Amino acid sequence: MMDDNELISKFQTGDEDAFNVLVRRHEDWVRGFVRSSIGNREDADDTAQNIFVRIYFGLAKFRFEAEFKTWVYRIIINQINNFYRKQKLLSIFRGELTDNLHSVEPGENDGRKSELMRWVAKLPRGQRNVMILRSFQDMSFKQVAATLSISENSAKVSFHKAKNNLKRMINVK
Amino acid sequence: MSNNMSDGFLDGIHRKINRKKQQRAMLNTLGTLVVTVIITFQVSNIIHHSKLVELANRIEQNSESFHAYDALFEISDDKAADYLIDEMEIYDLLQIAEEDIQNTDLLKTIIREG
Repeated sequence: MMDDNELISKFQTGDEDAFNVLVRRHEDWVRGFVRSSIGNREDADDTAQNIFVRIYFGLAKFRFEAEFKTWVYRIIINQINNFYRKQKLLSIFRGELTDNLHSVEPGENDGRKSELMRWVAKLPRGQRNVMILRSFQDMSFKQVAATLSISENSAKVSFHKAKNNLKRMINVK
Repeated sequence: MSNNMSDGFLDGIHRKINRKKQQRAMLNTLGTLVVTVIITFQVSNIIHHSKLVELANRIEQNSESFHAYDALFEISDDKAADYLIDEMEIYDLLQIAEEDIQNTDLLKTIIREG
């Protein structure tokens, strides 16, 4: 079985099927990650598809400097942030709060987790990115730092601030 | 079942990829068109400008040749003839020539009749 780098090399030389193999190999964890960050299943799948579209157009420039999965994590984080931004803009236009952002389908997600995601969505972008990777993907601070191209200390500080902000938000509620 | 879902997901990705490719192709065509229009406009401006410069040079040369006659302090008969041929209307020239002939004839008549 070919590894990711071999598949990417094949894709870069014009083998489109190599991309399909990559999608099938990574689809499950990407969709799972996006669904854990965006509660709504339809929106999550749409975002996951957008992530693979980004991967398709970005693979031509992939230089094997980072691990494929780390590179994909960055794309996922960007796409999730784009999704939140769009939702925020939509809510401004509609004049309503983004409470429907995580309108989770019954039985789909753990209630506490979806409640937590509702609050995480309201965090500043930098803190939110760290929180998603650290808490929902169980990454070490080192991995979080590598994925977001920040220092390990910045990741720790952002996580600490995010935790404090979440506590404050939940207490105010 | 899971494979069908996966196929649907993959098909969706390819539909989005194709749409994006079409958008990019359209943007490229549009960009090429805009660049072509700009280049055409610039080139026509350059041609127009060079034609204007050429015209201005010609006018300048003509006015220089006109002033060259004016600047001559004494004009020889040949130069005067050149000037008259270059600058005067043919009717004026014929009229002067006719007057000269008449004057010469009158002079000859006076001399003859004493």
